[in-house]
Amino acid sequence: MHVLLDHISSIMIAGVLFIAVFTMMQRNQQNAMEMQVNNMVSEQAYHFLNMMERDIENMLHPDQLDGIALDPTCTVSMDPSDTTLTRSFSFPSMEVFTDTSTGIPVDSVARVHLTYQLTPTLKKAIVNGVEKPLYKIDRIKQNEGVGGTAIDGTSGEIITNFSVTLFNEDGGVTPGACPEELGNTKVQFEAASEISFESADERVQKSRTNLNTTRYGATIYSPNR
Amino acid sequence: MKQSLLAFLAMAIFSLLALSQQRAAMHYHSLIYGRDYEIAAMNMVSEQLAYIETLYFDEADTDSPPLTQRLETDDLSANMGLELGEISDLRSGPGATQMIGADDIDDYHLFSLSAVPYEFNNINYAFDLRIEVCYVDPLGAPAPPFPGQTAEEAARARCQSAKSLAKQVIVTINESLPETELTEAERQNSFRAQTNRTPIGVTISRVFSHAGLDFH
Repeated sequence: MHVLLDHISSIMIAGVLFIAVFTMMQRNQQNAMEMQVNNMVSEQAYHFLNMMERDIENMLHPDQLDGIALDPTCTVSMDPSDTTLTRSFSFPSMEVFTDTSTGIPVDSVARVHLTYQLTPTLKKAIVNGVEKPLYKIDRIKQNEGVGGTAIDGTSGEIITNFSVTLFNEDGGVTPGACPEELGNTKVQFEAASEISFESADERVQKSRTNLNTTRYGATIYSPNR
Repeated sequence: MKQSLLAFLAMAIFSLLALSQQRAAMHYHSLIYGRDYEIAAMNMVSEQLAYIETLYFDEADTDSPPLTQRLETDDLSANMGLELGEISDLRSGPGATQMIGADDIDDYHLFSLSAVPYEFNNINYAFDLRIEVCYVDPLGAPAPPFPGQTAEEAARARCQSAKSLAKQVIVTINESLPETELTEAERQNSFRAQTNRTPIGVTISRVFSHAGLDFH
């Protein structure tokens, strides 16, 4: 007992240092996990953008669908409560078929109608101190000659912002339906890469580093249109 | 006395450890900010190339009907840049980096703008833009940059003076630094000291062939 009392000051200092080192190690572990999740979400968002770029590059004009049983609409719909948020972007396009169930020969190029639909989820994320709802962008496809639509790709439940802007050939912005002479299509989206350190019941995911947002975008010219 | 010295030493070691961890976290933060700037810069480059892609290959093609096959290079422009009478005024609004008078791709040769405001995903950036256009061998393959050579220099190395049916557009975007009386090197050093990262610069070159552009 007298040993403890003689060395009580050093024991207290050692205890405080031990707690501080333990806290620092835990924070480092959390930061490392966030870095890893950030990289994974960035890669996921990048691949999704690549898919959208390819589809927009292959965009067709409605006149190129004469006689084809396919929805020809090309339009951008905005969210009524937030006019900077795009709810859906629909357009006819082309792709190489790999699905044998459609009856269309594999590896043939066929026309499709695509809708990139922003769908709300139950999740939220804190981005720069502000709570934002998380969405996902579904790629809804209608095949040529085949009725009905199906989800053929998704971004995952990581989207906090999605914006599509159509430019006509003079560089002016065209809201709503695609202009007759479409210039470029500008796509931007923001993905939140947070992980939760709270219980599984928590719906709000919190980041420790406040650097949890990935932003991607592209401006694409559709030569076929 | 011995205990106090050892406790003091332990606290000093811990402080150094904590500071190094903090420095590593700050470095990571800087990388993330730099990556965001890079993505925004690349988006601006792709936007600029998308504008240029809508133009004619050469001034000599502006009066030709669409899908006109070109086999000769004699009537192609000898000099790059705006032709006489073409105005260099910029469009207003979203097309603020487009020239109203540009009708073929080499009109953008030596086109440059400083501190261009650029909005990307609700964040405002400022970039310096520079474009160069030159003829290249349509059958030549780009060589990777050798050590010490920038992407811009490697792209310029492909340029040739002889006319051809392929033009290379080199778009360079740099992060706009505050205007001061310092030299460029001093401005960059000052920027590094303040932000703990190097100013972002993106160079993308793209070759346009006559066949690829004349679908008007």
